[in-house]
Amino acid sequence: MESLPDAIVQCIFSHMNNAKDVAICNCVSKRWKESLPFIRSLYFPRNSFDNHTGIDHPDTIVWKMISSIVKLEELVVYSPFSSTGLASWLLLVSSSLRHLELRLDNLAEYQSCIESPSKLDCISAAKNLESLKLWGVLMVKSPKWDAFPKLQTLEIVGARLEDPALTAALQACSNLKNLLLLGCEGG
Amino acid sequence: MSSSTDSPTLTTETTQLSPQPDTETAKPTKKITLKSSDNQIFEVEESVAMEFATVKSFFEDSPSTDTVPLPNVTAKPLSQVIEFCKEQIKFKANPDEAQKKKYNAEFVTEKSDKDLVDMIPVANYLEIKDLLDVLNQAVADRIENKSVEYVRSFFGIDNDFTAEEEAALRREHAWAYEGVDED
Repeated sequence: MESLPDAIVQCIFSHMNNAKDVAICNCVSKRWKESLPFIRSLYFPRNSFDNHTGIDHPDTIVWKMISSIVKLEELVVYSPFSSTGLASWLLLVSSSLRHLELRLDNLAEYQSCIESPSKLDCISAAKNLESLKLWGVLMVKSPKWDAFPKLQTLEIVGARLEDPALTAALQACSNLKNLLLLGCEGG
Repeated sequence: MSSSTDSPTLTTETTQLSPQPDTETAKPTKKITLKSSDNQIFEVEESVAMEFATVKSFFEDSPSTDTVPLPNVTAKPLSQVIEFCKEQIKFKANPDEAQKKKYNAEFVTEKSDKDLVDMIPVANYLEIKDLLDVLNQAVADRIENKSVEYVRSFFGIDNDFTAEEEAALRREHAWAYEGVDED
């Protein structure tokens, strides 16, 4: 069999549902390694760093993976991370990123919500987002969102929201077409 | 809102308006001959061959040809690709997303690793996008949580890193090697 064309290797990478597999495939051969920068999406499942014993912080590992990609369009992170980590990732991909999905999981952590900048505030850097999905959101004060002019879909699953905060957040999403709020409480 | 409609008449009309399509008398479809690199001949219906963008443009460039040589394609993956495309034609005629999804899933599930890997360059060369997506997803699923060695043997790829280069790469991505299936 002839070897797989580079474009195909990139397609296979893009179908992977776990960034860990992408990292492993980076080590398969030189051609596979050279395809890595061209993938479009990265997923970090919830258990990504469950067995992690190394010295690198998970935030740094995600940053390293993202930094090796030229034009990341979709980022999904279900594993735990900090607001500092998120800010550093979005600095790298703010112009290319179109889809972002994050498990914030800060419902119980009031402290993490009032810290500044909060994870929600950090998302503002991804100005070209077309869809944003957030899990486990505590939004008691307005996130510092400038504008997401291209955002069409906003999904919030499992949240405690204060109405004024949500209203302020939605004002940044002037072209929103789909809004989904699931399991949200507050008023 | 007339209540005077005579129901037997209505029944008759309905019968007249929808004659049964007679599939037996449908006009014969044109066949196209494909020749694999190992000189096997495949006769396929024109509609199936037109699913192959490469074959389609070949015919647009030289309409008078009767046999399309496929110098990069061997018989086995070609026959499997034809099988897939024949089914897709049926779904084009009668769209049923659920059935199509089911068929596509079964199509890859029953194939060996080698069959899948051999079909990918064929689907790529013939430019059958749907099949390529199905195959890429299937191989991505099969190498999920597998070791570097497993992926190499899965695709038949030679390791072209020096021992030092490979060790450095593994150190760089050390987190990914925690808890990987070795088989």
